Amino acid sequence: MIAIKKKTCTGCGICRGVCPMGVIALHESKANITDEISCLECGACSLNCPVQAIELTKGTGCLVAVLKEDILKIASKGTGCMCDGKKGCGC
Amino acid sequence: MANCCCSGGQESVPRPLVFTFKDYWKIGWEWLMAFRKTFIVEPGLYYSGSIYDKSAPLIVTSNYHLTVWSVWRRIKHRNLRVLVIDTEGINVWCSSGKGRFSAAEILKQVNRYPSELLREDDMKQLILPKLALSGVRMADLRQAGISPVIGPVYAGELPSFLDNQPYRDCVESHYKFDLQDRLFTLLPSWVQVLYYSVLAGITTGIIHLFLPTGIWWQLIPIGMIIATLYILCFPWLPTKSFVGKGAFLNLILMMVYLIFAAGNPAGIWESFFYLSYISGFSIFFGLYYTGNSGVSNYSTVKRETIVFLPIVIILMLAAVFCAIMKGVSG
Repeated sequence: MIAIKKKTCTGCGICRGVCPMGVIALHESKANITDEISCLECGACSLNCPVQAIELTKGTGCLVAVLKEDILKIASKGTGCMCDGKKGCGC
Repeated sequence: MANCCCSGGQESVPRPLVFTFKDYWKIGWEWLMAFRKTFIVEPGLYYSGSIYDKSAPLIVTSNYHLTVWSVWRRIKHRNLRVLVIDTEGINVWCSSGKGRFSAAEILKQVNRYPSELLREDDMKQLILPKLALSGVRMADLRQAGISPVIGPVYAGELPSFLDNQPYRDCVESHYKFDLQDRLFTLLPSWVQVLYYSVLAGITTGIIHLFLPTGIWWQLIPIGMIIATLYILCFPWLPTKSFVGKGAFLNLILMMVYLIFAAGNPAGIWESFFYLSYISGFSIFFGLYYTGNSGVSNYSTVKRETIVFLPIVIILMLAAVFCAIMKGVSG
């Protein structure tokens, strides 16, 4: 999930520029998520926000990764998807 | 790619970026393996064009062979520089999500080369792939004297981006997941579906050996049809939920099956088998395709996996039960 702390946001627009899905817009000089369902939760906005105004739970949006990392807990965060050459989901 | 791949050298000299016919075989294999690491490009500074030109634009990319090739084929006739960073052979999107495509990795490669080799002005300008920004904090690059420019999402957009100087951040370049993107995932998805369909076919085939049911090979075309329809019809299947799309496709396929079964009356257990299997596989593929698509998000996939994976398992077990009952009842 993604949330913008309106009080902290300075409206610089960096988040809008880095969003690969174009789901962030500026409204009254504050960042707004225009389409939360389409947000990939990739974390580009929160990583590049100069005032840490964006809170986000980052993870891999992939069945195999979720299964291994969150449900079976047999892989640490960021390693369950196995797109690094081992057999896996191929994402 | 004789000039740049896996030579083992760590010398700090820019090398020409060249791909050969042999690379196309590797690319075909990488495509089939759906973005998994198979061949990597040695990290370092490369250039296209006849000579190294330190005033040429500098593009950063991952060291996944297919990604570097994808960039190269768009810029091979231009005077450009490409900084390939070490992402352990993972593509830009996945490696930035894992934090391997990072400002630290970029600086590690930049610092390998003498400053006078890299920059024309006081500031080194780097063109970053937009999909790398979930791993790259641009402020870290600026602090190190680098001026980052947000490049386009797609390598295909590079030529038009490069034609327009001075470079501006690609704010309006977005990931579309259009038909071309989906077709790119079709073949690898077939390979993955084939794997799971063969497993299901073996399971029902074993039942068929002891209790003749006639059900085994049919599961392979069923899986392929579901995958193909899901991928091609993706934007037109209602809801933004991957599972919701799978469930809707399942409804259509069930109706088609019932119309077909009405004309060719099958036994009740056989009908229940196909209805359970088609339902289970459609929902499963909806969940599975989250990994291939690039437009899924973590919290939705987690929620849907927890809710729907047990349903998939129940439907598959129900299908096995129906196959056994069909065999028993003859």
